[in-house]
Amino acid sequence: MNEQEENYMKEDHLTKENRPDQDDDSMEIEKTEGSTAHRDQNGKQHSLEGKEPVENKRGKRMFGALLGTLGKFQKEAERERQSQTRSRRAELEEKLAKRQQEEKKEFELQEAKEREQREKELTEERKIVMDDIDLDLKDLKQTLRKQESTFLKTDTEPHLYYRPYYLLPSQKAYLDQVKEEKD
Amino acid sequence: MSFTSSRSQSPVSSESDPAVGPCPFLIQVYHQFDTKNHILDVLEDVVPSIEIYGWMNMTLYELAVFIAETTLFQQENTKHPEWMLQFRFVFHDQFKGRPSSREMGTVCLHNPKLFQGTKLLKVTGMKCGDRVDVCIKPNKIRLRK
Repeated sequence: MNEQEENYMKEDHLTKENRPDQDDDSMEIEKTEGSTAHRDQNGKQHSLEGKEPVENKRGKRMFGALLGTLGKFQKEAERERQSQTRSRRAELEEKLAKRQQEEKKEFELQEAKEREQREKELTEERKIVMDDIDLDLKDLKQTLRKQESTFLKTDTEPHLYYRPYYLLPSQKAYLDQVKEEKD
Repeated sequence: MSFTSSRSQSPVSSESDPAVGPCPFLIQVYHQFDTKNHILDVLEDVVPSIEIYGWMNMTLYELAVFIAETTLFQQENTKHPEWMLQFRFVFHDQFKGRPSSREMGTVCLHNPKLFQGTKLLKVTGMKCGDRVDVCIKPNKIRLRK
């Protein structure tokens, strides 16, 4: 190895602390560049707080905004309760409910009336029909009685009706007698 | 020897003298509420029955009126015209060799024109001696609008 190389090697081994030639002026220069007096005491802490407060402030700002919006909603809800629109809505609903009840009652009354009228009409119809049936019965009995005067009866119970083509004079007389009695 | 048909008036004779009119005959009516009687019960006379005089020119409605007078109008519960009567006649079929029945029609007491109220007895196919089975059902009056 050369002597120059040996010198380089030696210089490399010397650090800043070991170098006798170097003074603290470099450190002083570094301190004075961009530094203020109040930072000198808590240099290390200031360096740490400089990074955190920004996030904290952002979080605080957002939290504050959230609380503000929540507060707004609460206030609006309170306003609505006390507001007139709610009371008006309640009144309208009450009115509607009353009207519906009244309409229901009216409908029930109308149904009851229609039912009564229908029953009346049914009873009248039944009377009319019964009268017609009675009239029909009378007519039928009259025709039966007429047939009794034209046909001969057997002595059995119940009677059987017959009429021979040629009537005996006694039979003819009997039929005439029956006809006269009925007339 | 020649046999001439009898000209005497009886319910069996199909042609009645118009001057005289149709001959009345006895009809045995077996009635039941809401159901029909069994054919054998009718032929063996087990079920209660009533006897009514009818004639071949009679309508089913007139027969129903006669039946109602003796059965329905006797009690106050049933004394109203809202009834429907279903008729059928029961006979012993000579060709089949067993008892059988045939439907005659349905009649409403409150309206003679409804269903088969105007149907004549001679059109139904019934003959003198056949027994009539009646099913009585309730039927409400339909009001005219």
